[in-house]
Amino acid sequence: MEITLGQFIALLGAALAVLLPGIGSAKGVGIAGESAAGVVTEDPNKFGQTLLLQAMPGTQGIYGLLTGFVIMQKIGLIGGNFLPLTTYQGLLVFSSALPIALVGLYSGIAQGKTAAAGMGIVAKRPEELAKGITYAAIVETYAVLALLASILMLFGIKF
Amino acid sequence: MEEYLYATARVKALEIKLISQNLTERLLDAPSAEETAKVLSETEYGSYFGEIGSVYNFEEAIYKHLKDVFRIIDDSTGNPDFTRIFRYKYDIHNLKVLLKASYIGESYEDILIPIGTVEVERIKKTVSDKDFSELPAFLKDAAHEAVAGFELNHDPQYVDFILDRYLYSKMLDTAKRLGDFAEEFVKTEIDLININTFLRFRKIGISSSRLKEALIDGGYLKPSFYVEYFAEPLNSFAESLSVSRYDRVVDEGIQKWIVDQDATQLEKALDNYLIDLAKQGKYEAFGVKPILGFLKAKDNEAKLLRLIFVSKINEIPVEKIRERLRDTYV
Repeated sequence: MEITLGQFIALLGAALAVLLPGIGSAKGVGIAGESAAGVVTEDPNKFGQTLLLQAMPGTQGIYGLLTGFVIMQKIGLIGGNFLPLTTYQGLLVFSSALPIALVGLYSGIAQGKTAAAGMGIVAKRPEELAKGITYAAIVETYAVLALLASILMLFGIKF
Repeated sequence: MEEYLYATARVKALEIKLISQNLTERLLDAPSAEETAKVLSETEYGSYFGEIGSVYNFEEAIYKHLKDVFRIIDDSTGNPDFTRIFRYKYDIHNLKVLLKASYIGESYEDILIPIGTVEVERIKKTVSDKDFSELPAFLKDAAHEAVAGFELNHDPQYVDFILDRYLYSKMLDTAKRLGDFAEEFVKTEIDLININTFLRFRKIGISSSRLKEALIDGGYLKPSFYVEYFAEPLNSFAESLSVSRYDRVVDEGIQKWIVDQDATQLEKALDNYLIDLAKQGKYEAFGVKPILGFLKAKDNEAKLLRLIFVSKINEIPVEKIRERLRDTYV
C-alpha cells in the first residue's frame, strides 16, 4: 500500500487530538493533586473529597482519546482498511481535530487550577465541596463544547 | 511565579486551627492561668502545654509550637525565606540580649528565644569568645558594628539601633526574593516601626540627631520625612500621614495619641495595620500571600497568648487585657 500525504496529515490530527488534551489533563490533575496532598497531610479524612476534585481535570484526556478513536475509525485505521486519503481530505480531518486538541490542553490546566483552589474550600468548609466542584465544572463546559465541535466536524466529512 | 500548591493547601487546612475570636474570649474568661492552659488543651497547643511542667513556662510551649510551624512551612515550601522573615528578629533579639548582658556583666539567659535561624548556644559562644566569624554574614557584620558602636559611645541603646538596622535590611533583602507582596509587607513593617519610634521619641523629647540613628531605612517613607516633621506640631505629621497609605493608623491610633499619648492604642493600631495587610492571604488561593499571611497570623497568635498568660499570671482584669488585644487573622 502506498502511503499518501493525506493519510499522514489525518493521522497527525488523531495524534494531536490524543496528545494535547492528554498533556492538559496530566498537568491539571497534577496541579490539583499537589494541592490535595497539602490538605490530606493535615486531615487524612478528606481524601475522598479531594480525590473527587482532583479527578475533574482528567476528562479532557478522555475527550481527546475519544476524538482520536473517531478519527482512526473514520480513516479506516481501526478497521484495517486505511483509506487512500488525498492531501485535502487529510487536512479536513486534521482541522476537525484542532478544537479538542487546543481547548483540551488549556482547559485541562485551567481546570486543574480551579480544582486546586477548590481544595481550599474542602480544607476550610468541607460541607461546601459542591461549590468547589461547580467552579471547576464551569471550566469543563468549554472542553465539552470543543469535543462537540470536533465530533460534528468529523461526522460531517464525507469521503 | 511559584504557586506553592502543596504548601498553600496545607496552610488553608492549618488556618482553621488558628485561635479564633470565640476561643480568645474563652481564654480571657478563664479564672486563672492554669484554667487558660486547660482551655488551650483542645487546640493545637494542647500537646505543647502538656509537656511543660508549670503554666509559668508558657513561653516554652508557645515557642516550641512556633518552631514546629516554621518547620512545616520550610518543608512544604522548600524555601526557607518565608520563615526567615519571621525568624531573623529572634536572632537579633538574642544577640542584643547577650551583647548587653556581657557589657553589664549579668546573665539574661531566661529571655533568650530559641527559634531564630541560629541556635542560641552558637550566638552565646561567639559573644563570650568575642569572635563572631562563625555566625552567618549578616549577624557577623551586625555584631561587629554593634560592638564597635558600643565601644565608641558606651550607650547600650546604640546596640539596639545598629542591630535593628541590620535586621530590617536583611528582612527586606529576603522578602525581595519572594516577590512584591513580601516586599510590601516588610516595607510596611519598617514604616510602622518608624512611626512608633518617631512618636515615642517626640514624647520623651529626644534630639533629632538621635532620631536619625534610630530610624530604619527601606520603608515607603524615607527617614528624612520623620526628621522633617520632628520639630513641627504633631497635627501636621498626622495630616501628612493621613494622605499616605497609613490613613487608618492616623484614624485609629495617632489621633488618640495626640490627645492622651496612650501607647496601648497606638501600638494596637500599628499592629492591626500589618495584620490587615497580611489578611490578603486569606482570599488568595495560591502563592506567597497565603503563606506569609499564615505566618503573620501565627506570629500574632504567639503575641496574643503571651499577653493573655502574662496578664492572667499577674491577675490583670479582663477589661484591661481586652483593650490591648490585637485583631485576629481568622
